[in-house]
Amino acid sequence: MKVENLKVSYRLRNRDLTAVNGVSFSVERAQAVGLVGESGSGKTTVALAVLRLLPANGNVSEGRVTFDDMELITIPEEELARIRWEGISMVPQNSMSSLSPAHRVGKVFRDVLRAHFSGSEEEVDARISRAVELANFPKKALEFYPHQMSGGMRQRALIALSMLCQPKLVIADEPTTALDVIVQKQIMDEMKDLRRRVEASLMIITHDIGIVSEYCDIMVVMYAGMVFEYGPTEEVIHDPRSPYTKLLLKSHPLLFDTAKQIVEIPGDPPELERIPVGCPFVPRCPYAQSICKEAEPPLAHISGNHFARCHFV
Amino acid sequence: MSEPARYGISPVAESESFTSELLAVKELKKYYPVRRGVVDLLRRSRKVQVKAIDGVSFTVNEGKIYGLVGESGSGKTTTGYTIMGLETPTSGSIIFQDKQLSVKELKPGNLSLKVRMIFQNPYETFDPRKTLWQTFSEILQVAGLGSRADRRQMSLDALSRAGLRPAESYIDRFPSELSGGQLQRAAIATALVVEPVLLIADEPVSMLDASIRAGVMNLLLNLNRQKKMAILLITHDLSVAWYLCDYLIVMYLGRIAEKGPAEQVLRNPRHPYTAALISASPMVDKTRWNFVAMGEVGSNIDLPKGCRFHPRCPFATDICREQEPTAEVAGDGWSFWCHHPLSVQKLKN
Repeated sequence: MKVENLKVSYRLRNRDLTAVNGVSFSVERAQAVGLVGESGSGKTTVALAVLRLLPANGNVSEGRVTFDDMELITIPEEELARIRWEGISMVPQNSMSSLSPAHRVGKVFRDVLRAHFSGSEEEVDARISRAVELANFPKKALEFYPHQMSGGMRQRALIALSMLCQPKLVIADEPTTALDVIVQKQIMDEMKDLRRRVEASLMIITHDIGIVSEYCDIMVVMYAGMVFEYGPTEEVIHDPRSPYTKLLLKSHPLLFDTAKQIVEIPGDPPELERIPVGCPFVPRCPYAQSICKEAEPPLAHISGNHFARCHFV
Repeated sequence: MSEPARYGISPVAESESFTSELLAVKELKKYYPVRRGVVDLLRRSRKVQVKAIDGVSFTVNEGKIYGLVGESGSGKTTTGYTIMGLETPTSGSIIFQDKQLSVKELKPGNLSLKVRMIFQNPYETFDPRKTLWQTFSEILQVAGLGSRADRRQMSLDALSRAGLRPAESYIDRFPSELSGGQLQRAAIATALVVEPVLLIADEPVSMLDASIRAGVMNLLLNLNRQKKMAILLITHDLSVAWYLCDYLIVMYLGRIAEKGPAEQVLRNPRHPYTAALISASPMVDKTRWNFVAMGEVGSNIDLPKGCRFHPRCPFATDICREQEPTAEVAGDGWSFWCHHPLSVQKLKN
């Protein structure tokens, strides 16, 4: 999948607010890409725009999203319906509100598969078995209603669902945020293992740099609707070039870090109504110069596949 | 190992004997009845209880930061609420500044001059229809502190100590006019205004955006170092605990699994559960911390027999399934409850 210069705006009280402002990145086959950012950075809007699931007041004003040579922003709804689940599937954040409380999960699996696949009853069963096995979801729990399952089990059910039509890309929006730390690790490890076995690509949307650093090959740091840094995770973590990424990495304490010093970033992330002119990070940036208040910095090439947005990389 | 300097404040050499006990929690229990339907009553099924905390004891010394850590259902928040008087304990006692408090005395008003609490969601801390000043003035009025003119000044001082400067530009705002980070600072200010000796902070940064967490954490650290205010920090995040806490109390299903000096407990945990929590933290050395606990947190209603952690523990044997472990001492002020405690070798594989 390739996202090029994506711009998304929301219409609010007769004004257009730009939530995503020229975002480009790509997800290669069998790669895990992490989109990390704070609330309001536009990370979830990117995912919704890709799947054309934006709310009614949201609108893609510019840009292209290509998936397997198809243009997702413009293709007709019927073709898109095929790509959802079969080409790209999504693991939502809140597992309780994403599963029908009135149906056994097994029924949901069957319905989804029937809508996309016309095989015999045995073939349907075989596919479901494979998906639940991949997601480490106990088969007997297909008889359960969502409320009978723990949070971790429900999340595994959603992961199994996302694997049902053997998609090439899975988009996971904060897949483990609602879970306890130990279960979070179990699920992330399982997703990693699963990805290796089926060679699917993964796009994780999260606020948690820890998750990206451990489970993603490529890291995309977003701020105020823009990509501030992009590159191989290792490289970005060890050699961040945009001041925002630098400070963000220093602002979180690390377990067993003996320095015990964390850096405060003054101020707050900007609201969509009031994104500063020039570089959006300028009011919070300790290195800001006069040019930063006037011109929007370009996404500068650092090396290989590593880019950072700053006038002074 | 000596404590490294943090946030520009050099460590003060002090031994335990110089710090005095502020709060002692003894065998605290809090059970909630589970509502039963007509069918249950007709069937005369057993009366069920949720054992949120089930015999928790620890002490809090003046001017130290204590971390209550564990997963959901561990009872860490209930413990904080009970000390604060927001929940009435089923049994047990709380001794505050050498004064034993009966269950009846544990009401929000009684301790609130000395003990204050801040919550995870700063938006729920404030009445959205009141300005910060109205909230402050009400707190001070109830506390019976200061004249009207004094109260304004006290509130301004608290706000600026919490990092909202100039305080004059914040005090007459409504909560909706502040960002999440500013609001959490304002919540800390409402706690500071009565000069508490103990602050109970329930996941104070977990709802805040990554870039504003550091500021709130450093604020808490500063208040502790400068004002000698003790803090009971409730958190699920061990990296936050590592950064802030002097002592750790690790809880699992209503009981303490391990407690002791934070750095020692984290570097060489004796309880497998502590090790599992560390192993689940991001960016730790995976060759040393490869300990994965099985399954998920059990139920507070059907507690496992014997050690509560045994269904998830890879080291569990027959004794763990039968007998609840008793306290064992691992070092000065450090104890754990486990039949098969970890050694360093065990973790290294």
